[in-house]
This record gives sequence, C-alpha cells and structure tokens, in this order.
Amino acid sequence: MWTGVQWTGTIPPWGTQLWFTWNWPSAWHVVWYLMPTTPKPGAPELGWDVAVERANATKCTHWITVRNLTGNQVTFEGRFAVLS
Amino acid sequence: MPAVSIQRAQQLFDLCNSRLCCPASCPAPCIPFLYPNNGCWARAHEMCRLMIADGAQPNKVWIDGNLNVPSHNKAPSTYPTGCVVGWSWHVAPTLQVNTPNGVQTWVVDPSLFPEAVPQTTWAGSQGDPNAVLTPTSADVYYRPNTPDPTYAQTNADLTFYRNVLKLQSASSEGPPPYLTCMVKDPGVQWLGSLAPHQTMTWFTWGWGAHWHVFWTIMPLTMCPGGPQLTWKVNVERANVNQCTYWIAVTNLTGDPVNFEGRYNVLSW
Repeated sequence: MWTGVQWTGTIPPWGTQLWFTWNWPSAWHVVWYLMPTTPKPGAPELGWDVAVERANATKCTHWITVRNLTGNQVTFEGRFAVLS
Repeated sequence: MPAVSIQRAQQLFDLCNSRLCCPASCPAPCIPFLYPNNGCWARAHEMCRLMIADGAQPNKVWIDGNLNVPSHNKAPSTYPTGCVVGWSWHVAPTLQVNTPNGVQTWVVDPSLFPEAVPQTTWAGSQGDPNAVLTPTSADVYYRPNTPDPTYAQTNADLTFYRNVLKLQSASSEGPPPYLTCMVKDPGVQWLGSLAPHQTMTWFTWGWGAHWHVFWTIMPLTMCPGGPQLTWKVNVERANVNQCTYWIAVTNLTGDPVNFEGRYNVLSW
C-alpha cells in the first residue's frame, strides 16, 4: 500500500465542490480521503463522497465531492491510498 | 513510411480509444469497440482517418483464418454462443514502430487490446496459427479493393453497428462486459449490475470483526464522460467475532452499469 496527496484545494463557507482526477489504472484499489489544513477545533470541517467512472478497459476517473461543513473557508489536502 | 516511437504509437492508440462508445447510448461519432462481433472494417477505417488527421501514416493488416478470440464484450447469446468471437477474417490499422529490436509493425485494435501491440501478438491472439496476414494501404475500405475516400460508407456502417450495440445493450443481457464471461479477480467480492439510476444494497457476512476492511466499487461498463457509480458502506456486528457489511451502490447515469465490488483487508 502507498499513500499520497493528489491535490490541495480551498472551499468556501458551506460550499460543495467537485474534483476529478483521471488516468488511474482501474486495476488499482484506491481510497480517497481529506485532511483540512485550516485548523478549526470544535466541530467537523469537511465531508466527502466518492464516485467513479470507467473511461476505458484499463483506466478510470475518480470524482470526489467535497462539502465544507463550516461557515469559514477551508483549505485541505485531497489524499489517496492505493491499497492494491 | 516513417516509423514512430512506441510512445507515439500509444498516443495514437489513445486517440482512437478515446472515441469508445458508451454501449447503451452510442452517440455519434463514437466507435463501437465494445461490439467485437462485426464491423471491424468500419472501425479500422475510422481509426485510420483519426490517425491521418493527427499527422500519422497508418496502414492496415487483414487476417484470414478460423479465428476465435475470447472476449468479455461478446454477448453470450449471439452466434456462436458463448464468450468467444468467431471470425473468418478481421482487420485493424497498423503503424511502423521503432522498438529496441528494430522497426516493427504494430497494430491499433481497441476491440482486442488495451494498448498498441506488435502484429505478432495481435495475430497470435486470434487462435489460428495458420492464419494468413495481408497488409494493405489505409485506403482499402473493404477487400479486394473498395475505397471510401469520403468516409460516407464508413459512417453508414458505424451507424449500423452503433445501433446493434445499443439494441444488444437494451436486451435482457444488458451492456458489455458480460458477467458470465468473467472471473472474479483477487480482492473482488462480487460482480453486480444496476439499472439506470438504480440503487441496490448488497450484504456480505462472516467477516472478522477485528479485521479492518475497506470497500470500493469499480464500474466494468466503460463509458467515459462522467461519474457512473457511488456507494455507501454500513456495518452490522453480528456476534462477538463477526460482522456483516452492507454496501449500497448507486448508478448515477441513465444507462445500465456492470461493476465489481472490491475489498481490501488493511489489517487482520
């Protein structure tokens, strides 16, 4: 297994935004998660959902919807782990 | 005919493969690579048009023989029944490619391979060691020597086979790939299908409650252009040692989608 940061993003207060990242081998088992880089103790800052598109026989595109659960702008890392 | 690099050959393959038809909708001008049964001559001519427009100089190779090619994309009910395409001939574009072993003829055929491959690999995959290969220029649309310089016949034939693929995808067998033609890879718990905009929940029991398990979904039905599937995981503690996972998968599209449900055990 290995991990990485695919992108860094900023999302406005209460915003929902969609990111996509393409050309991932479809044979890989990949999970996506976020980490806020804007400290804001006391409550959750971000939520997310993942969807996937099969582009061709060997490649896929991952679509990550990010929700800002706060009234403040939040910056974050979009992280991945390739499990196998 | 100038030879191209392996990277350029793959770039030209990707150019053609990017025109892949979503099987249930098949909007023109997509290429119905997922209907391997028939229409290779029209696919080959359209691929040559795309490559020529991109500055390349492809040719074609025709293969004659008792050809039998296993394919997940052949509807099992179609002739000959089963998961093997039967052809008496087949055609695809070729490129001259600079390789570490010298200049070789490589074939661009997304209906059979996910990348450009040496002609020997392409011919060797078709199940007849006595098959005969015949190279021609890209101008030959249909043998012996029918041209289609305006691509009018190409477009007519592609329209026909797009419609065949659409009809087949709308049948009870659904779109390719066909799950009865597939085996589960390691780390795949199940193969599933969803109707347009359908959400369905699968459950799987007897998992060690102390295992750390992640679940992911991967569409098998190819359809570039937007997200196809999303999923949510819930878990039930069945007893002191075991749990049951409940995975709800949602089809975000207006087309049916086949998929695999995958798992990874991060620690035992």
